[in-house]
Amino acid sequence: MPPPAEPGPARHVDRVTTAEDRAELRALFTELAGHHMVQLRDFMIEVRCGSALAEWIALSEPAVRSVRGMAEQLELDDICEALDRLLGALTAAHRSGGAISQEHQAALLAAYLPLIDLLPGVLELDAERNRREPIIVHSLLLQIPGIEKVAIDKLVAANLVSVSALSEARPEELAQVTGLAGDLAARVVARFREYRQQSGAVASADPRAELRALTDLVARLRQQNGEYDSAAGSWAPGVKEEKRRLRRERAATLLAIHVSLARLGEVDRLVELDRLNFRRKVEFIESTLQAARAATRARTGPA
Amino acid sequence: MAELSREEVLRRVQRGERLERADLREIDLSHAVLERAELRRADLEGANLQGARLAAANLRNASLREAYLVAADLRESNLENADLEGARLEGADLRGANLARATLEGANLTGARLATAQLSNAQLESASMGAADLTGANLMHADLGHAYLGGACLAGARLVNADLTSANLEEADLRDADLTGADLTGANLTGAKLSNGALAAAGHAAAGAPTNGRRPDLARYFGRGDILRGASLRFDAGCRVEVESLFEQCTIELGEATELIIGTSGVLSDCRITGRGIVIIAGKFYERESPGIVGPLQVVVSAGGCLVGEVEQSGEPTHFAFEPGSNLRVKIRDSRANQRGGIS
Repeated sequence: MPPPAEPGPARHVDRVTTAEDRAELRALFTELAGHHMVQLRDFMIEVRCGSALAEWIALSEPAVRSVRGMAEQLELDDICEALDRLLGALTAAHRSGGAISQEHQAALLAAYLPLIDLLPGVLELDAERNRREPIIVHSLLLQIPGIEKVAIDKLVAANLVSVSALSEARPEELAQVTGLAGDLAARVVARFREYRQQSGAVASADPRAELRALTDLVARLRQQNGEYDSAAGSWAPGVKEEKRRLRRERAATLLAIHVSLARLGEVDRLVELDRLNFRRKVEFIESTLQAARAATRARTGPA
Repeated sequence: MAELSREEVLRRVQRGERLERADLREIDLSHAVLERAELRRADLEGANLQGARLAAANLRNASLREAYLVAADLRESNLENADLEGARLEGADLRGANLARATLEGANLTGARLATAQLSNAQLESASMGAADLTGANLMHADLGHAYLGGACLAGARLVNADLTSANLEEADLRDADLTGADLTGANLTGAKLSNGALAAAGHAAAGAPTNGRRPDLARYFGRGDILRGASLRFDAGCRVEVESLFEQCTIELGEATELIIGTSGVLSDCRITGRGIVIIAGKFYERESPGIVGPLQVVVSAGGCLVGEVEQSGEPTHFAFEPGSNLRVKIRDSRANQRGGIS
């Protein structure tokens, strides 16, 4: 990783003549900066959830430096200063290594939050998290054997619908509060703890790794759907059981795809995906993947 | 892809033209007004019919495989023998619809309204029907194997000879449902409302049974002639459960002071009872593995009753009462002191 830029004041050379020009320039910069810093926003969502690792900083920091360079060229002093503070906090957190401590979490958020006002629209944390988390939680719950509508309704009624609440709960308390059977409550907590440990909360720390995983999942879905269609057209004995097995496996793969797409921030596409039959779902996810790969390349350069 | 555009379909329906056998695969007809449309044998596979108004439409023998019918209005529609495999019907209104012999394998009917719908001989294997309203629906001979019916309302439904093997009926309302001849092997009835003789083939009703001061709405009655295999049942505190049926390989969890009465015709074979309830045996109990009864508050075996198994006391000691004439082959174990006694 390159050493952090030395924070310092931006140059004060006025190259723009009118206020209107400056406003237009700033709007254009905001759009570009937002596009560049999507990964930073996802990282900060995880920081706020308390699920971020210091090693993930390396994936966001280059974009912040790049945006800082653009801001300096355009003489956007206030943004330069805010980005310098953020770079300082990122560097300090990165040096500490491991899971980001509460102290560094607070410092990162303190440095990041002013940027939400300075670059409005794309860096907002809670709205994006609120779009993704219900999909992720619902999909994870449905992956747990024995969890169906009645159990999900009980969790919703108890307002236990976040990754953090379900991963931090104690199984016996969860059972007591929701009325779920003890073994079921234990499975819920275990699944969410496992997910959080492996994947954080609601965002992809490494979008390239997420895209690779999604590529594997869609290939699997294509194969499972082909096998299901073959079984559906068969009159062989035991086909009913075979279809049941394939239907279950296909549904499990689709749930994993839902989680992955939500983590990549593709919530709008998930809504569209829901309405399609399986054959078209596969095509749709493949086209989504292509677009996401291109966007990631544009942000971070070729793999 | 569809041979007609959305606009063409709407135009034809408006003019009252028939669309029988039309190729409408994957067409987008979301929120379209298609009331009384003639769509017999039409191919609507993968079509988007979200929120479409299809009341009284004729969709007999139509293919709606994997169609998206979320929140569609299908009241009084004719879907007899239609293929709805894997269709999405969450929140759809199917009241009074004819779905006799329809294929709904793996379909999602969560929260759908199916009151008084005709579903006889329908294929609902592995369908998701959580919280669906099936009040008074006719499900005679329907295949509901592995279906999810958690929280569904089946009050007054006709489930005569229905296949409910491995179906999940947790917290479903089965009051006044007719389950004569239904196969519930491996079904999950945890928390299901079964009072008023839901399982009573001969029309026995809980209302006539003594309630012993307990809340009548918490009474459960399993009638003579029914067979329950491989089920896990849980009865909350304060319930009174009477069994005149044959239970095989079932696990029964009793809440605090819940009364389980195995009536003179009742047989619990290869079963296990757990929890701090009161177990009264006038029929027969045979354990699956020792201990067959774990932690009961009270065990009473009346004259003619038969208990073959081990009773484990845990926490507070169990009160035993064995009437003269009872048939016992019992081991009593105190888990705290690890003591055993035997009565043969």
